[in-house]
Amino acid sequence: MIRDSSWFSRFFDGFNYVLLTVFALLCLAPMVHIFAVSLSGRAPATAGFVSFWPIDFTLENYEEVMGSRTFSRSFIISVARVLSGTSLNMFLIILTAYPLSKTPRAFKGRAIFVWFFVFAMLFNGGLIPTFFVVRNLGLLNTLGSLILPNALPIFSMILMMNFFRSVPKELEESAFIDGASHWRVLWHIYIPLSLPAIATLTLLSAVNHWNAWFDALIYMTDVANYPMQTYLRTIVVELDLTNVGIDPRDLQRLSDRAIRGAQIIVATVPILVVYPFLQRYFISGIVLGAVKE
Amino acid sequence: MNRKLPFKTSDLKPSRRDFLRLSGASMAAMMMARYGVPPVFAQGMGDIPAELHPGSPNNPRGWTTALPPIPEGMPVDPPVTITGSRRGPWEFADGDDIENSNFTRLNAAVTGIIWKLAFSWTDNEEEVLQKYNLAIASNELPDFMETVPLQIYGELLDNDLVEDITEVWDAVADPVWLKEAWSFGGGAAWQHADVNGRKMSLPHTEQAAQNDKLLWIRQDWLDAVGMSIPTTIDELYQVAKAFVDADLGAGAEGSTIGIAAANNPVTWYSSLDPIFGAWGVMPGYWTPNEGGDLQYNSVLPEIKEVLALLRQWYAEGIFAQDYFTLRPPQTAFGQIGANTCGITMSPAFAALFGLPDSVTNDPSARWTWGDIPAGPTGIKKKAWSNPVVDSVFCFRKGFEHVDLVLKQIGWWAELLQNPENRYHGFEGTDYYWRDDDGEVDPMGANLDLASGYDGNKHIWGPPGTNGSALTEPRFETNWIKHRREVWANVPEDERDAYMEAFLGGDELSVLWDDANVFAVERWELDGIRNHFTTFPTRTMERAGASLADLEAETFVNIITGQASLDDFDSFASDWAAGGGDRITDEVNEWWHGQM
Repeated sequence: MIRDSSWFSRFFDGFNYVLLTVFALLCLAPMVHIFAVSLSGRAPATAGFVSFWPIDFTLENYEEVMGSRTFSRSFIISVARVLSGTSLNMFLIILTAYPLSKTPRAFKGRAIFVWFFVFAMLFNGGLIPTFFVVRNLGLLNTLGSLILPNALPIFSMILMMNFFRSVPKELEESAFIDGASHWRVLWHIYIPLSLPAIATLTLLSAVNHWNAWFDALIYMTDVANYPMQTYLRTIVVELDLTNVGIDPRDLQRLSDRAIRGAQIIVATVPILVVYPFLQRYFISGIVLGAVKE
Repeated sequence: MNRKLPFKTSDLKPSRRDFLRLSGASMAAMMMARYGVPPVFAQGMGDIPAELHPGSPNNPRGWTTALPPIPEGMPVDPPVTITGSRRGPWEFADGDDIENSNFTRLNAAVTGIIWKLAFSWTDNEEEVLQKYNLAIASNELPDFMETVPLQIYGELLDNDLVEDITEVWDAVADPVWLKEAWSFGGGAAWQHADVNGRKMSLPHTEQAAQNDKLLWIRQDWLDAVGMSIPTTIDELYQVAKAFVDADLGAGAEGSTIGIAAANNPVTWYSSLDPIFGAWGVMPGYWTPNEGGDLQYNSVLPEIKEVLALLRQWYAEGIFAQDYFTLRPPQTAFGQIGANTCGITMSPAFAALFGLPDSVTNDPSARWTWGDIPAGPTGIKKKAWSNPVVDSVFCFRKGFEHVDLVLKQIGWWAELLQNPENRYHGFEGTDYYWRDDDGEVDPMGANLDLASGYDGNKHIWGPPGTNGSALTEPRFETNWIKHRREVWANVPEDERDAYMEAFLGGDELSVLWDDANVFAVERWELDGIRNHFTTFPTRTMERAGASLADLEAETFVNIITGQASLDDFDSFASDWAAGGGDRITDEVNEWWHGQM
């Protein structure tokens, strides 16, 4: 590559770096702030004195978060949801995407199935009817209510399907000549070749499961069964006590901003840790499958 | 609100609840093996086994909880299962949950009622609406519905889904702990529960005067400037000015704040409502005028006088420069707790919220409290904190056992709220005994109250629900009086551990007790009531938010000098033209329909 070394070009590059760095720092700032709050004493944190450096450094907030039964229970439910939900998602995505990636000649009626899925992606029954279905299946208050209604993320399935279609036909044909079955072709040719896409979709699915809060609000009639994000949402909402009765718990909540900070950090770290491992696939993965030859 | 003793949750290890898993019999056997003497259990009431009793009769420093007489016809046989909704969250000992806890076990033995959870929610306002809407849509309303928001209640009433309990109430409701407790303020408790003369639900009431303001002031600063507790608005100004001029606060030079104030002039901590009250008005409130119509206070000429005063105070540095950006807890921790300010108009619970930080940060800080100051014409008023919350307890239409639930509620109300019963919760949930090494031990000599002690939240119905819903709004003051009049007379060597813990309070908790009793005494005398107590009117829903913004902005601009005082007049006419006149008509239509 030939570098354009005119002053304008260099100025422009420098400007871009500065701008992007500022943006990156802006994105980082809230996290750093919450982290500093979580390591601060109760009073300075609640008074709003803490900016990016802890005041009255303490680990007590983390001790308290880890010691809370409600918090650890919701954490375990979230982890269980991510593990089971993501595995189920990926299993169904791959199983559905494989046949749909075949040509209409190899798979008669493929168009009907594709439209069936696209239709289901665009339209749904709405909140109350979906709630009825889940309730009548006896899924309320179970992990099933969180992972079954969206067991097949159709958008991800279409990405996967397009990725499979970009795998050279010749590989598959040579395998068939050697007597391989569809199962063997899928597991030994398509999946190893599609690792970038699988990593990307796994990450998307895991992040979605980790961050989802609304479905649990609806399907978990017992608050003891809330996963992490639903539980967090109920505690980070700022209270205004002007027109309501004062409750000792509310007062306690108002003065425990530092503990809430610690809860947010504990809830964020697990999913942040997953990123670096999948990051290298992520960037190449999201564009792969989008372009076809 | 219950007092918290110094205690950290992290001190509690799961092992603390080990002994709870033991049944009564094996516990007795264990203790006999250990202590060689047969334990003296409390006398069981009727068929109620001793291990279900609250209290600690066996501990040498423990106490016995007296159970009220079992209601007539109870426990019902065979037991009745009732479904109910509940406000969470909650934490229980190992193996227990909301349907099976100390509370439900005792309740089942007393009443024969087995409670099943229909659904629950946490504090979030949207969440409770969501859950009730789903229950209505799926036609699966629980038998007993806890703290139903007014919006849902209105919907239920419109669709005839609520049981009329008038006759059952008259017949079985406890005369003291329900009927009398809810008779304050000329039937104010029933403002939502009573619909056209019929009782359609039970009121949701909280502690009386819990938000009523008192004047909290630094005694050591008063001494430093040689002044006494101000009794008038003018004296208040003199004292605040003296504090600022003497720069008594901690922190950088010149950073002392005269009076703590928050982003809303009428709020729950560091409020300015007593200053408006000194002119007999309350921003945001609707009060009857001489003609008997309700009028909106924020546009009255008296408000302009108060704003002129506050504007002058702000210019002289009485308030923080950025006071209008501060939320109430920020004033509690950032000004009061940080000792940059020595005056706040806050409720009695300030002694537990804000003041403790002040004393921690500066051990020489001495706080005191006084009545709110009087205005130039001698008026002394503050915003009345209505103990009636905007939600109700109601029953599903066609539910057959309203009488059982009412009897249960009466029984628990008496157990929890009559100080003579000595109800202080259950061992292992609300308090622990520890031996000298700090280990949990039912025979230990040290009483350890659980963090956020709130021993009455785990049973369905008003006195036991989450959110400290009570039937007797003077509950807390009754307790304080009982402690002072009865417990204090017990010779010191005969006091049990609980009496000792609550009588030996530090300076701040004594202040809290005093302030609480005083606030409740003045509760119905000094409060300005907001007489508009129903759903927002149609125009309020449409224009209310922008009118409120206009009002807040105008007030801040006038006080901080960004706008001239005469802007108040254009605000008043803008308010009227922008929907205020129509809102006034709608409010009065409702008001006259009430009478």
